[in-house]
Amino acid sequence: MSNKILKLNFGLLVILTLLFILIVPNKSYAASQAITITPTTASPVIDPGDIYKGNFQVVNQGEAAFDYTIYTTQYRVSGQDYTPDFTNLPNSTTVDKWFEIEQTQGTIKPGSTDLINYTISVPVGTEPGGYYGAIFAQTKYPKSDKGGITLNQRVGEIFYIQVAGPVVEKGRVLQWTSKFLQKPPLGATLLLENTGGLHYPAKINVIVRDIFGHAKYTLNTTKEVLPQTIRKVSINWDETPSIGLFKVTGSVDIYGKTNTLKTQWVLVMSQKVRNGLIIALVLIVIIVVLHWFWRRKKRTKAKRNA
Amino acid sequence: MLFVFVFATAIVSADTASTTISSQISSVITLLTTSGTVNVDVVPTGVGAQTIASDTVTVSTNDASGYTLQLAETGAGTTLVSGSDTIPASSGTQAVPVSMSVNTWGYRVDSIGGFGAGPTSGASSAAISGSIKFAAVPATGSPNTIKTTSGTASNDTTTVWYGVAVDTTQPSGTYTNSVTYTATAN
Repeated sequence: MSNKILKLNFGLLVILTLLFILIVPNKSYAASQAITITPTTASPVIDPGDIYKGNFQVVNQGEAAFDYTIYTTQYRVSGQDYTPDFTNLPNSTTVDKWFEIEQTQGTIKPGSTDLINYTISVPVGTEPGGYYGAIFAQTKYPKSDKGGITLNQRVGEIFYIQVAGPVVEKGRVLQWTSKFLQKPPLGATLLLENTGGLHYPAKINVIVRDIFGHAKYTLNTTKEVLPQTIRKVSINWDETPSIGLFKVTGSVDIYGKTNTLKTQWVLVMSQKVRNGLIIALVLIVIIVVLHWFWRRKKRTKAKRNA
Repeated sequence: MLFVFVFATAIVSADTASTTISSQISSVITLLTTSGTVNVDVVPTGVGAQTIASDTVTVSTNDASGYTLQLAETGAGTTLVSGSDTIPASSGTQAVPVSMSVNTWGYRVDSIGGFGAGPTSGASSAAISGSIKFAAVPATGSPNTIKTTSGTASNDTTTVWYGVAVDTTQPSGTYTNSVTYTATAN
């Protein structure tokens, strides 16, 4: 009898297992697609008429192989926020045409790296100064025959090319502001101006201290400022507490000269704190008014009794 | 007896040399999407039905300047295409998005531009939302910035929602379009 029960249980287990495999839908996961480029920027200095040789790497850190193309574009920025613009304007210096890339397409397997060589040839007679372009590696996924929106990715290396020779190098801190009364996060804005003919790296250091002098937030960053542009750098302390008085100081190094930023005092109060203070103030006013009326009533009563 | 003690002085010398260890860490930027295609299949109704689906874009970079992430059409077209049939793009822009009209498609990213905070959630052949607004994916030469950061990033995600709204006047078919995300260091 016990053998029969065991056989029955075993048979039931086999049936259930088969049913599970057949009925429970398999969830298929789409493979992730990741394209990497390294390095992200390059800053060669090249004489007019000379060439520069370099390379970059395209890496597949995803789970599926993909086809890719390599191409060059011009690079400029738009507005103080420095929105990148990679469109090729027909009437501007065609920096993108200076590049010769050894390999303009390929297929790369997951976990693989392709080394791509390039040459930059600066035309003879090019005026000294800054010229800007980008190399992109872009995936080439075919449109799905099942419909939908095909997603391609491209990553770029930006080139800050200096054509050697005499050039005006002129930059300054145009503006440094931070409002006294703020809600979190504490913010400050720096405007950097370049009125010369060559980009410069602005080395920015900003420290936020509390009233006891303890450094609560530090920013050390370098921003490239292109010729004839103004670049806005926003400083935001994401972990600002809901209330506090803070001292913001800093400096910006431009062309080896340190520009000390004027100290800014910032009183941070979140909306909740402000609401609480308003309520407290209203209550105090009510109490004071009630107290005044009560005293007045008491004096009137005292006079009558007298 | 004269004992001469000669102390032989042992001269011990030692040479030291130092080696400098140097390591150059290259700057990298990686752009990852969870899949190659976002399916936004719709079963239309007479008054119009809408499907909303998402794509998660992940960026990693050790460039201390941070990165900018942009979205644009891959090619010249802005419509979803199935043979000779098309679904035009939304009339909205990232700055001024609009509720979807029937037989249009678009994208949105919560909390940027004029999209509002959302939160957006997926929908499948549901009634067209009047509150969730969409914009046209911009032309290839005029990408929209959908994220900018100011420091290094490790698996920093941005969710991009795609929506398609159609009614029964839209011919059935397999409609496709291709968009490109661009990630560059600042």
